[in-house]
Amino acid sequence: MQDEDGKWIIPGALRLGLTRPDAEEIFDLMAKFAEYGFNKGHATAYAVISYHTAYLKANYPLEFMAALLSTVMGSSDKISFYIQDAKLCGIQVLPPDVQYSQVGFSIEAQAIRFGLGAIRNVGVNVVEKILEARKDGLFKSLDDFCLRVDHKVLNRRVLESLVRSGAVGSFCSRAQALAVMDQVFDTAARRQKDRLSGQFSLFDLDEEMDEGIKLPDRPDFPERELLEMEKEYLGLYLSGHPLSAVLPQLQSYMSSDILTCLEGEEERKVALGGLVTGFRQTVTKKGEMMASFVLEDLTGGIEVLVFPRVYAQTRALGNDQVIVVVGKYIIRDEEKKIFAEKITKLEDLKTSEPSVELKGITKPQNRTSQMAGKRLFLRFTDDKSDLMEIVLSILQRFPGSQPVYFYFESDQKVIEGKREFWINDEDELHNALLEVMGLHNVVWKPAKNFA
Amino acid sequence: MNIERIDDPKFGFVHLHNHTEFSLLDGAARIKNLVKRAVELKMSALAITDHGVMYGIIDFYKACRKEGIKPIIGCEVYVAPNKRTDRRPGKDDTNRHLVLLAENEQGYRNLIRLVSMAHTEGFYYKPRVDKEILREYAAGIIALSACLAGEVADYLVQDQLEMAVQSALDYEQIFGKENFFLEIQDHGLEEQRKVIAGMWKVHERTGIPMVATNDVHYVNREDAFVQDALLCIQTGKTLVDTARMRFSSQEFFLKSEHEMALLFGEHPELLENTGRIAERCTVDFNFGENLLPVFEVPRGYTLDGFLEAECREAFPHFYPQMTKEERERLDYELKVIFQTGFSGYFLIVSDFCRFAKENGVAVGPGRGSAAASMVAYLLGITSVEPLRHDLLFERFLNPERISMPDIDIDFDPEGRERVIRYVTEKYGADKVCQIITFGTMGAKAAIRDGGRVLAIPLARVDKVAKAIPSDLGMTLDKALSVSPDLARMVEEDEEIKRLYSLARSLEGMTRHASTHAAGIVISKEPLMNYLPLQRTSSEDFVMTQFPMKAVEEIGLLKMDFLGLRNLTILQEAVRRIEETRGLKLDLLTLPLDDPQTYTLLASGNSTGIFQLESGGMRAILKELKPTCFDDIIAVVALYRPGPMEQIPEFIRRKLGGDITYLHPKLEPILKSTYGIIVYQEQVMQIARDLAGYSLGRADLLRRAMGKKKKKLWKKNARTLFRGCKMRMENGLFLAPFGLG
Repeated sequence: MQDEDGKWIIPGALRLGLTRPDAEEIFDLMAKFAEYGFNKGHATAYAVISYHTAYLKANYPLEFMAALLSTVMGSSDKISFYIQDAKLCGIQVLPPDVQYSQVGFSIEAQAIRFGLGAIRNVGVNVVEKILEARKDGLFKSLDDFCLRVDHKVLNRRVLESLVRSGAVGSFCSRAQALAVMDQVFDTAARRQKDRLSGQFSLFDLDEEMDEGIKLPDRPDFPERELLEMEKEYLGLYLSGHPLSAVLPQLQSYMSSDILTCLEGEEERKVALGGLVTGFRQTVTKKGEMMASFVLEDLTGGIEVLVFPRVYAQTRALGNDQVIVVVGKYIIRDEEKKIFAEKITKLEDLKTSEPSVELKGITKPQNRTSQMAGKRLFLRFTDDKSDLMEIVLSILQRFPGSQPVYFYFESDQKVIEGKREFWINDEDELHNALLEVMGLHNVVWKPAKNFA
Repeated sequence: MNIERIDDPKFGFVHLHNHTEFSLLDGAARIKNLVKRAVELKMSALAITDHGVMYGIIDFYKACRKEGIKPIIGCEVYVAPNKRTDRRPGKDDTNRHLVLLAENEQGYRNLIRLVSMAHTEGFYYKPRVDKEILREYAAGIIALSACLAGEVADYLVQDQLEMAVQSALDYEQIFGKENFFLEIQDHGLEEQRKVIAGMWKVHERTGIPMVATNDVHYVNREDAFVQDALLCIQTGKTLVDTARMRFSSQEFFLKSEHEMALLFGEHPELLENTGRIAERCTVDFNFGENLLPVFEVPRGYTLDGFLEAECREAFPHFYPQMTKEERERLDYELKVIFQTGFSGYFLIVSDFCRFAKENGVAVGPGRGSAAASMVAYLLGITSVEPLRHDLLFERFLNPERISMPDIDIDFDPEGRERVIRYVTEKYGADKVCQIITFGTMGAKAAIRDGGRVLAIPLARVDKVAKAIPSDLGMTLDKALSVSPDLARMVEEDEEIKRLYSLARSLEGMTRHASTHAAGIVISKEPLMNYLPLQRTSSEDFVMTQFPMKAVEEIGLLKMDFLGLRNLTILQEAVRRIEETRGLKLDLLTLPLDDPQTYTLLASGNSTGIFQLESGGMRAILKELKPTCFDDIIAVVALYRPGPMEQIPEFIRRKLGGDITYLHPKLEPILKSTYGIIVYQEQVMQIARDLAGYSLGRADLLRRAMGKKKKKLWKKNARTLFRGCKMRMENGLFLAPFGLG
């Protein structure tokens, strides 16, 4: 005998003490998990890898992070992400420096040193020449550096990249370096050429004369510009982040960081904070103004679209502004974007309450605790089909991930409700059900009968 | 015209020159449809002759056998004008066609050899054979002179009768009398008139028999349009371009005997001969053979004996207690392995794992169900001790369902190359190769390619493509029902409707060939003895022309050599630790209960940690606060759509929630996962302990349930419950409410 679901109901199963709900439940559970169950062998083997990785990170964080970074050298997004993590672990990541860096990430005392190979325009062959030259001792100055490193690989472009990325920071500031760069380079080029052709220069004979080009006395670039240069030549912000200063302020207005948001596969309402970059205004077919930009925080970036209606309500928007965007997280054709509903600038946040922004937005981190909830059991004492209809429609008003069970007393049968009827435990739901079914027929139980 | 009834006692007319979708972007006939149509037309046999390749012959063979018609295995090869190794621009870039059919097993082997050599030695724009190797490997092959691009026909088009006669005699000499046939086709093309007339002259002069074929490129006449679209995709043109390669008629479909008779009925032998050839050609495949490569063992040992010796020697190292349970497990595993006859397999894998470890290549702890094998553990193939984790051997090798074990290995990506090279050297470069994989036209690609050949503006095509959801396995039909945007566009716009229709015909067609990233074949004898080969896309290696499944069906050993980046991270970290602290860590000896590690995970600081990096996983770890290795295994196993719903309950129970078991026997099975069923192994154990199933049968039950095989399920349900009944004591009464 079978019902529509193909469940086998054994006649006489009850006879020998194995109750029908019992046997059925075991069998159902087996069927369910046979489909969903995982191969423990594979899980175990792969968990070993996870464990080893975690072990190394926990016990040798410095070496681990250096190793981790060196395997993602090709992706500045990943490098940036892992550097943030290193900082959280209390590991400093030092900027590239021609005096101390290797090609890739290296360990220096208790810190990790950025490799020179990560600088734009600087290839492995350049770094190898630098390392070779360094064997004779640290470089004494920018001039010394330019002189000792083979100009076959050290050309003007490479030198400029090293300067702008901050790699010659142990000699002088970036502003100073840029000011004298051409002179220093030309002088060094001439002297290298001379040496090659066997000629001496006065400078070689008399070390005292070789003081190098005098560095001008001028202030360095403002921090913002230094960071931008870093971003351009390293692919990421390293020594700071334009947002860091204001991040604490932003936190309470955000539902999550951008990276966590991007991990979600469901469209939902979010509140994100960050920096405006790549700002663009366009005109719609109807002749209205709209805008788009990339919102960036410390963890990543996401495209934001501001449609005319919202844009009209937003005050002057432009690059480098720090804002909070409340809107809908949309996934179209594998591209993830935000359709902005409200944009608030940092300065204006103080005047509005965080709760206003976050009302109705589920923070992803809390979802699991929301779900760790009870199961709902509903008892039906007689065959009132219209009661079922009413109950189902109530259930559908509170969708969630908590299971619902229907107990039919006359049949002594418990049926697990279909996924579409599962609910989110809320007072309103409980009250509605009580009203319709009666106090003793609505029971919340902790999940009990899995095994 | 008097049409005589073709009277061949056995076979009637048979199509001997046919291109399937595996004549990539040229043939538009899907194998299943082609075969079905042949059956509809009451034909008793059908040939497959794709351009220069034999990609589809196994599929074709199986499809024919299923429908009860005789498969004829063949290939339309390209013949180089001079030597196959000549590649002089201007001199060697023309080639001629030739149809080859395998008459018997020797012919088949010769055919795959010819096709392989054409790819590996003779490739110059196309894979080419030359007359030299045709001569050498002609035994067992029946050849047809092919279409207008065949040598004989080509001379006739150029009015060079003498050359045509010479060429025909040449081929007859190569293949032998009665093994070479002159071929004619009639699609209404101008040149064919000439060729047909000329061919008769050749026939009179030489006495070489003739056949009629139809150079089939699609199944029905209506499909000509789709085939034309494929040609456009191949050549990068649109349907409206006039200066492009195209078939100048719509007659290249699988015609009925009657339709062929309308064309060639005056000379019945043209059609009868096809039947006679079909009668002669018989090639049968032997699936399920065991073609494991030879693994050399020391003198005096058999493969089984050596495997056992290795295991027993390693045993005391890994199991110093040598308990009864441990010994019995080893005995059992060895017994089953000997039964399957796959001792060699384990030794082969163990050998290259050893090489890897000895040469600085990181080897993963295992993957798939191989981790369940103690033998694999003892031989250094895996590093997971199966007993401690309740891993069931039957999940890996089921004595009730014997098949070649499936062991895939993870290496660090750079080291992987070195292991492949080792294996190539050890077993021979002619015995190791990669595996082909085919990309088929997906829903979006069909729209995009279709749009391009229909010359629809890119922006419009893009809109349509974007309206198709990106879900895996999405089809155009499904998309139409779930995407209102798409439905509207197709409904309202004639042009889009046409595009959609074309795309539906293109969808699912095999589009291109590439190399499978991880698959490696190691064969017993030179590969060319078993299957056709070609160069990989990067040209530095060789790959099978048969896809993975066919390779396995033939009985060849195929394994996946995978590169896992995380292993590099571990390697690097260990190296640096040695550099900075002089400490040489052996990961495999690490205790699995290090408190720092669990503290780290509980803090949610799992960036960079394999499988545990995502935001969702991090949140789970923070809440769960894992305290033992079993927790990590479970969380990894549960973190997938579906089982994920169990996680909150799992957490609740670990943190002290009450757990009750429906039956006491369930407790030892489900204890490590707090009463929740997480693993397939647990399902199997429940079947064993509550219903008396053997683990082998329990594995079958699990598979049936997993695949929702209702019949098998029902059958097992009876036994399961009968078993349960017999074993239950006075069962538990369960009232879900616990109310009064």
